[in-house]
Amino acid sequence: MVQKRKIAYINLTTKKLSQKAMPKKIRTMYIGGRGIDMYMLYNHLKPKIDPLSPQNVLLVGAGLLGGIPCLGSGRCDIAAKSPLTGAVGDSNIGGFFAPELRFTGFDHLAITGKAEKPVYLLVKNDEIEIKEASHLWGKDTFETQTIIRKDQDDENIKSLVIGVAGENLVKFANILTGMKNSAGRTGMGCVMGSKNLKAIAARGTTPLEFAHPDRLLEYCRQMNDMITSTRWSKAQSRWGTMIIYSNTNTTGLIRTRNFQLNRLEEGQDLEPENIDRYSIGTSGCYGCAVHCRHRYVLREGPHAPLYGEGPEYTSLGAFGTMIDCRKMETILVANHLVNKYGVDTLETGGLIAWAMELYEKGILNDKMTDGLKLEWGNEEALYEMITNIAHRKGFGNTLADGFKKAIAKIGNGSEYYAIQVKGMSNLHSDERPTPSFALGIATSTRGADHLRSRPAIDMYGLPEDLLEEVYGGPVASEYNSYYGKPRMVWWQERLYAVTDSIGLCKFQTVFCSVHAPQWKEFSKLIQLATGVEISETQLMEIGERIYTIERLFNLREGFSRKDDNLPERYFKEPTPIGLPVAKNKKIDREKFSKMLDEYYKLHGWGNDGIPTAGTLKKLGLDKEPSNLI
Amino acid sequence: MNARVKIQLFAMFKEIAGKKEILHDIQSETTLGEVLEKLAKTYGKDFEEVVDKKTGQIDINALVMVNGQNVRDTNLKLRDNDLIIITAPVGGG
Repeated sequence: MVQKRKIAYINLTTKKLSQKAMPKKIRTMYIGGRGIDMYMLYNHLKPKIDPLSPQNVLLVGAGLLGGIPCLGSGRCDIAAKSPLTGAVGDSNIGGFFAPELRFTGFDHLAITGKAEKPVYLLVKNDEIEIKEASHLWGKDTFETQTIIRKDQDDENIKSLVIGVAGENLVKFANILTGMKNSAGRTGMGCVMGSKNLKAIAARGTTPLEFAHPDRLLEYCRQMNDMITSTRWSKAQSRWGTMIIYSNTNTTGLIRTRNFQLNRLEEGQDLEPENIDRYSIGTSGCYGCAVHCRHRYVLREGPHAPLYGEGPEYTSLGAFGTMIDCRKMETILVANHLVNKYGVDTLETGGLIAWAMELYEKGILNDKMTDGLKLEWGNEEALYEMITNIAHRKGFGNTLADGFKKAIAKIGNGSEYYAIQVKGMSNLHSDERPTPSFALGIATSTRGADHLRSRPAIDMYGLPEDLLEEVYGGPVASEYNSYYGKPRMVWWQERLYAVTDSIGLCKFQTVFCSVHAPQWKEFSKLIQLATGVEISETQLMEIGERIYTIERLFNLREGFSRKDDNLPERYFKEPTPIGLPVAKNKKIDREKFSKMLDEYYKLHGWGNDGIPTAGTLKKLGLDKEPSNLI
Repeated sequence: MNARVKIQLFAMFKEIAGKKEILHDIQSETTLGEVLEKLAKTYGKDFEEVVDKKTGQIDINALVMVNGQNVRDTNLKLRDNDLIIITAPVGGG
């Protein structure tokens, strides 16, 4: 299996297609999915290219374990140089596409160039066609998938598509499959749009080969039994990630009115149970026994009829707390709109919340917003802004370029109010009471983000002896503490890098529980699926290698220690409300700097954040770029 | 006048109890464990499992917070107006 998988190269300018077997060395050094995408990103791109130029490469990588029947094995990694940040662009998408791609015989696609007219790729059992897509241009994400299935007369085709936001080169346009699964972050849909690539459709019937199929099946059953027996998975099955809201909002860990408050008062309608008014059941991704997202219908009201999937906990923040909208229905409408147009939920909500604070402070006025009253809780303004961003209309055109350009354009002190790192919006969590989370968003290679490193179990107050056993060194149990937290972030970074490379769902790893699958289980799954022995220690080293090559990419693009930082407000403004554990908290600048030093040291990087020569040699990165694929 | 704590229930605990909030009178030496024991007698299995029978501490498959801080020690003495949250441990973001 390791040797037989293939990578396809597609140049949309020359229409040249070629393929190559995946070298075993690349597999054993980078595994698959995100790992191989990151190797190729570093190897294929010349420094400082324009992310929207034909030189940028769009990488689509299925995980090594894509298609096994457990742990949400439908994950697919999509990468390019980010048009939003100029740093690593990378986003991991669930659903059913990655297994379908694997059924065609391909694990990875590397797409360069730019088509003269709109096209889509059709990958079908060992064959790839560039198909004309003028009839799809202008269609929303849902329509596009339906039309491709009809065109091909095949209901089983799975597609990655962009909406009008990707066509309009919105810098944080996403890529969507199904009703909601999105490669949301870093603007991968914008890169697709820049290539005139509307969709990538896959349909395969080639069986996957496994080294030990019977034992693999039995072990997958054990994994599913283990996951579904836990209280956390039962809660996620019932309410999805929204379940987190009740606790964090009560405590005061959610940014509200952009960053002015840390709890939404009178926010009861956003409690997860209220999804029951609209839910028609739950659904899941390929190989998932949890099924964490609701399918919902709005049957009444000005936006009815409306069908959607989700929302996530992050949607409650992006379209609820951050803009002070207090109705579940608002979240459902906004969630539908961003999915339909194909824009990132978190970036969209983050930018609109920022604009609302600027409007409140008089930095923006009616003339600048085309008369749109960007007042807190104005849900109609929210819907209009989402639509205008996707279509680059009026003031939406300013926000469509993301924080970096919008700050430069608006000026007048607006930067201070932007809750972003490296040009990417943070989600709605308020990390001032949680130093581990704060360090994670500062150091993430793709900008402010929780899915690169968040040690969510830091919130559980676990016994310190248990934490030391997991993390391999002392870690304080209290989430307010700074002690040992760099170690947590470092460990989770490596675990998530490997999780994204084998193609499993992070929420079924040590994200939700200290007893969820991690290195040991990954090692066994890889051995049963491929026959290749990769020890737990080797997996940790692979995670380190992947994170370090991402670091090398960012350094080459001009990023440095100064960019591993937090918005100034984290250091200056204490949290105004919440329970005692969350109130009056801000990040201590000196302690933060010491955390950063320790974090670099754990990685084997210097105090300047540059990997040492010894680290590069140890990881086999001293001769990159090696251009093996 | 007796002291009183507020208990907020989330996730399956809220569904089982059929309410989000319980006000509970306590004495000067009342511990968290004693309050949880009363809840277990009233609401049954899921509440019983909040405390690990082997260790007597909060089970790691439950999340119990007092005034926003996670606690494991059931011997913790409660004070007037304490807020106790009981929920499933589902991670942060």
